[in-house]
Amino acid sequence: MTQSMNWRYLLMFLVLALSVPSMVWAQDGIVVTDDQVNAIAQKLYCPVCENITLDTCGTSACADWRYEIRLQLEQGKTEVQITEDFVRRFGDRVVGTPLDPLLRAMSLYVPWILVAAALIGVAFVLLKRRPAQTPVVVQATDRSHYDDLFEQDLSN
Amino acid sequence: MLAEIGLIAALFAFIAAIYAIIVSVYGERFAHSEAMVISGRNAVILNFILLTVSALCLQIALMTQQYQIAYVWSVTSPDMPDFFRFTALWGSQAGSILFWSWLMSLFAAAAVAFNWKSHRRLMPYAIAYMMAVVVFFLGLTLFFENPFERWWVLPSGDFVAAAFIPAGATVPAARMLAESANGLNPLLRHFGMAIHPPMLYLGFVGFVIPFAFAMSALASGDLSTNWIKVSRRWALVAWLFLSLGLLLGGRWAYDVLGWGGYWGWDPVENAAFLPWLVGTAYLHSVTIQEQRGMLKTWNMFLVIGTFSAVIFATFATRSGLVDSVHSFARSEIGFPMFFFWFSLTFISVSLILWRRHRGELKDDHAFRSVFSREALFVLNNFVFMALFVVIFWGSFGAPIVSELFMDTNITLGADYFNGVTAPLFLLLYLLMGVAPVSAWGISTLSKMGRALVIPVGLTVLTVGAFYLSGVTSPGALLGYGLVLLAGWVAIFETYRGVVARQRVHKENVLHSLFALVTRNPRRYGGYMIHLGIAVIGMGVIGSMVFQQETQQTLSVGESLQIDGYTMRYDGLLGNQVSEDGRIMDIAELTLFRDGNEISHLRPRRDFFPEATDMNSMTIAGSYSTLENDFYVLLVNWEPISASSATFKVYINPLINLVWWGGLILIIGTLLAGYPRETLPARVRETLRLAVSQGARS
Repeated sequence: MTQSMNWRYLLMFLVLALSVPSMVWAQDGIVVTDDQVNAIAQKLYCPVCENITLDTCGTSACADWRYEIRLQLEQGKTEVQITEDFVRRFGDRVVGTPLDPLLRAMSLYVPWILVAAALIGVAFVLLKRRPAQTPVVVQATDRSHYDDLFEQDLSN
Repeated sequence: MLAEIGLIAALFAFIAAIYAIIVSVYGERFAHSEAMVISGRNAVILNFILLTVSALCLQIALMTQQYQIAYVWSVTSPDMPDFFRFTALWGSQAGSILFWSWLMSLFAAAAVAFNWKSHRRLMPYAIAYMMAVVVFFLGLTLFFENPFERWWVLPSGDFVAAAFIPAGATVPAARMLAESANGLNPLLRHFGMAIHPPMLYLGFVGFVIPFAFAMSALASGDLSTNWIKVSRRWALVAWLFLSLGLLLGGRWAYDVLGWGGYWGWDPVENAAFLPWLVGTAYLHSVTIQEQRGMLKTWNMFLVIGTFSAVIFATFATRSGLVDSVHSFARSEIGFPMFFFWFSLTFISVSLILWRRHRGELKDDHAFRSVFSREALFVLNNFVFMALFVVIFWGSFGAPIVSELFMDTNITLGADYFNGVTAPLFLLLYLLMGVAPVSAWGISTLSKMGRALVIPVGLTVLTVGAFYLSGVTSPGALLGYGLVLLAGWVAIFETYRGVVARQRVHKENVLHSLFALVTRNPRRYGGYMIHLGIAVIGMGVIGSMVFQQETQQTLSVGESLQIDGYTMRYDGLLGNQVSEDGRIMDIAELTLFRDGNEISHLRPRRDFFPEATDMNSMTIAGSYSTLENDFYVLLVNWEPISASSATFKVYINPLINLVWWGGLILIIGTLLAGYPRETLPARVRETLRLAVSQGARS
């Protein structure tokens, strides 16, 4: 009985002795605030719900993912590493702009290419319409003529 | 009984609309019969009356708790207040489509009543196009989303919703239906939802009138400025409602969605914004056609594009094309809506190209100066369309292309939209500042420069004051500068008019301002709209660039500090039951500024036990000043003791300018659309003399 008690005390001592360094590590470890978690969570979209960022999503799944972000921050991971980890697991839909180079290029450049093409089209149409040979007298409707008179009235 | 009357009225309204299309077109085109066209007009009025009866039946059923009607059962419950029973008419798919049809018939009847005499030649085809759209939406009501279906118990004991009684079926017990009724979607239980959807629908539906008149001009060949005259005012009415709908939607999101903002670049928000962009481009561009007889083809594209964007927005919202928090009303109407949108756009564009090919849409004048008002308006149109392209691409194009061709789902978020739209919006503000001081026809840079000296000086002074008050971000200062320039130009141009009038007429300032605005409401209403947009821009930049947020867990009695505010957690009132059955957990907070108590806030979490999905809501507590909003959300709390709770706090600088700017915009639009345009006495005299001389000769 006494011998077994001794073994128990010895075991407790060992457990305590081993746990001291880990407690010291936890105290010296990275303290992560809610704001740090949210700073990353607001750039990630919920993989389950549509178009809702992780920081505002109210589901328990999103609460778990926020906790995961906290854990990864505590492990010393950077925002880029955490983002890449989420993209690796859930795909490019979890970020506001895809990380995949092809998808990213498609997302960011195609609209500007379309806009540039439209601009060229507009310029082409405007340049094609050459001014008339003779000076063009502004043809206004009767109503706008009197509007113009009124404006002149004011400015005189 | 209500279900039968409502259904029969809707069916007859459907028949009346088809009749109106046939007799109007046949009477005008083939029979050349005035009586037939008049009969078509009367059918439009009848359609409106019948749809009013139908919508009233559903409304009465909602108010009197007729739970046998499946729609009533799905959107109301016995403990819901009457206010939400009333708004439940547009609370889900079937009811909202009927409501939409009714609004469309209302617009059609109003267009017929107001424009019958003045635009008689355009009327038959306009009636046909308006009624074609009504027929489509009524068809959805009757064949896909019938709000008058009732619950029946089959002999097998199963429940089924059907418009007509199935063989051998019986009526379920009223008490059982009442006990199992769903109640309205919690997100829709907000005062804003009484106004936001109707405003948005009015905006959407209102664009059917300019569209119908444009199509009528194309179909009839009357491509003079007649259709422009009639459609501009209707477009302005629709634009006003759409603007109101977007603003109220932003306010609803701010109050209800609990994320500290008002615009999340959600696909459905964007879908409603797209017609606004095209419609705004049209309202600018139409002036060029009125003044200079230019851009005839382009205006056709814009007015038809606006309505096409409206139908696309409806399709995107209701089909689940792209999911979002707004897509609570989706069903199996996706394919018919897509087919309708595609057909409408294809036919419209084909008609434009046909008329253009025949040389009937040639411009009267050419561009003569890059600084002329018409050239700047074209640039303005280009920026609006560029915004349309980048927002459409981000919301629908890229997600659909990546899913279809790259087998990947992507979501383009706020960083994409803010990045691509910010430079375009700034360019738009620059044009808003410059275009009003340019002249029609020929304008030079030096003339414009002279007109801009004072507004630019005022802008520099104001931006300097911002800098001295601590705003040092170059991007924010540039943004404020361009927004302020637009605002100062609007104010200065009005001031110039007042001073000129005072000099001529020796009036006091208020009288001059009143006379000036009433004589040319379109011009000065336009300036007021610009001022409203500038004020909104100030709010958007402030709330986006300088927003602060923090999330902290507080024990009772503890405080957090942010931006000069101190918020103390006083305790939590748990499980409070409201009259509509929701269970509320309310945090009690005291807010201090500079050591002085300024407010008690009660952010809360609402739980709806009977709701099937989205059964909780986070309602913010906020303290508003013109400087900023202190906006706090209850995130979490210690379940039993409530000894600690987690709060998320946002400081949203200048956010109230968004709402105030919206109010200015609305007043400006009302002014710009005001129909009375009185000519000044001198001009009236000139006109009278010209007429009398003409009569003598």
